[in-house]
Amino acid sequence: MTPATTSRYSFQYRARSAYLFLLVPLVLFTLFRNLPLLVAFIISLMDWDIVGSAKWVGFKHYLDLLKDHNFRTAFWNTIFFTVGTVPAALAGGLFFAMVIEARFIKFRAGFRTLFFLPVVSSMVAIATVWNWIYNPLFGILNQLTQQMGLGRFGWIADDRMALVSIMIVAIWKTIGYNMIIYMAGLNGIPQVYYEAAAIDGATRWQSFRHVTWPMLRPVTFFLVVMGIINSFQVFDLVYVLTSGAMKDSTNVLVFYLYHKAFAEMNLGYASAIGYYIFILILGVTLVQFWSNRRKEG
Amino acid sequence: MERQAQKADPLLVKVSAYIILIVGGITMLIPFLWMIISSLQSRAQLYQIPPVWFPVPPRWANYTEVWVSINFARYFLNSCIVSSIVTVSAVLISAMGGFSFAKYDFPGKRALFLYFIATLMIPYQVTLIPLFLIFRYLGLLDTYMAMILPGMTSAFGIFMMRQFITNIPEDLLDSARIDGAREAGIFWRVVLPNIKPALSALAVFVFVGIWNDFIWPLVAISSDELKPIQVGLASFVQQHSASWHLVMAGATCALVPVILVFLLFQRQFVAGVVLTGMKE
Repeated sequence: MTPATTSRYSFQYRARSAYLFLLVPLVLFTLFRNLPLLVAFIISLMDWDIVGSAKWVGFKHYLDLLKDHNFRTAFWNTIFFTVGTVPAALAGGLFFAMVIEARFIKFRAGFRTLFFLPVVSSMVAIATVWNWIYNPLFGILNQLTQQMGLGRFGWIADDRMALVSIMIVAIWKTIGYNMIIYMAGLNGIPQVYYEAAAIDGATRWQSFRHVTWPMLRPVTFFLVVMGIINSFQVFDLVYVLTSGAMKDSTNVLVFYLYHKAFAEMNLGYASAIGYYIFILILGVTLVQFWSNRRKEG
Repeated sequence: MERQAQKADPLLVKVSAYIILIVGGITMLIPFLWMIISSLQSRAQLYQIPPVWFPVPPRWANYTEVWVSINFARYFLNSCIVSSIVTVSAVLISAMGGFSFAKYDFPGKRALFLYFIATLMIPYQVTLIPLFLIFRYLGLLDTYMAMILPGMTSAFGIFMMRQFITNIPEDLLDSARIDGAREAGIFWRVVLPNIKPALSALAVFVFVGIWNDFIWPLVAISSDELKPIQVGLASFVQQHSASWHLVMAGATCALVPVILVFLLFQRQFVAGVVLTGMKE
């Protein structure tokens, strides 16, 4: 609009400003996000204990891992953790979201706050508190179960129950998050659908089955993907509840990575574990991306 | 038939809905209550059966002990310093990136945007070892910088800021340009004031995330004086697992700031959470 006298309106000037604004983020992201991903791959092809010199071994670690008993245990524990926590936290979140969004509910904000407290709380503090709750001798939970006539349990101390005990905490912590997202999803469903269903004489269950559930499909899908990704990365909870000790009963992928890297200083091997985790998560993300595309296209 | 049945007992429905929410709410609250109660008990009360629900008089000395003799004051201070620096800088950096992508055209824009957003798919744990090596190479292991620098990069932040800045009318920026403002001035005096709610939502988000961060400082920080509170708490649990009253006092200290921030900025926080859920 103005002649070229004011170069500040020119494309070059604008582009230069854009690059200047991006400079700091670019440097930081490159150094601390993107470059490390590349470095991790290179290290995963080497044998290295940080003090000695690195030795090139190619894909040896990736193949060794497939035969590694601990890795397999960690993998299946992670899968078990995911399969056990994601659906339960999803069902819990949806259930409470539907109850809290009922038209007649008062103090909605207050209830929402209560359910959201565990979500914002740090995993370390939460795990510490549950560690005390789970204490086999003096923990409040065993006193409760004993009073109910169920007897006492070992919880974390019992190898057969340890992982399930950890999963209970994870579910307890995630329900509020799922609930909030589901509440937003429920609010997005136009009321006319329910009115139409009511005119057709639909029962509560039928209007849930044919209106609510299908309308919430994208939300559910998102929460499943997020749940899987987060479950694959579980660490803090396991680390605190097991006092940092690696056991078959509670070993998970990230814990094994941490153990190999910083307890055994086997950086190459640990980086290969990291890449397996990365590939697993990338796979889940791509499935999501692909199915979103398909829905839109 | 069914509709009549629904109408016939709304009271029953109402009462059971409230019961469900109250029971659920209590389940969410009880571990926190038990934490606070235990943190006020004496060592003897800790191991009493049946449990002591109301420790009278409350033993506030537990907090003094944790705070002073077990270095929690220091851990707490470290967390405060790191979290506040990261929060301010991550929000600023995200806004800079978001502004650039929202309001400028330049060669390579799409590719650069992807370069940032793709990091959302990189799990933190994969980069743990390289980060450790990079900071070791830079001589920055076991420093505040080690905790601060990686925290400044939020792909979600850039994405979120771009969404909000896109909504600022172009005329507003152009009229500032006509008044002689430079691009940096526009960013500072036009863009930032116009996205205040988004900035505070992101700030709360970043703060909670960095305050609760654990695995990276666990790896990067070795001296006790520099430990953030989560790492301090975890190592305290491992050393004093019998002193549950002190451990619970420590856990309370580790939780209070985040819960306060959440209660104060609840609306922004929930808005931020919902936005992550709806970004698809």
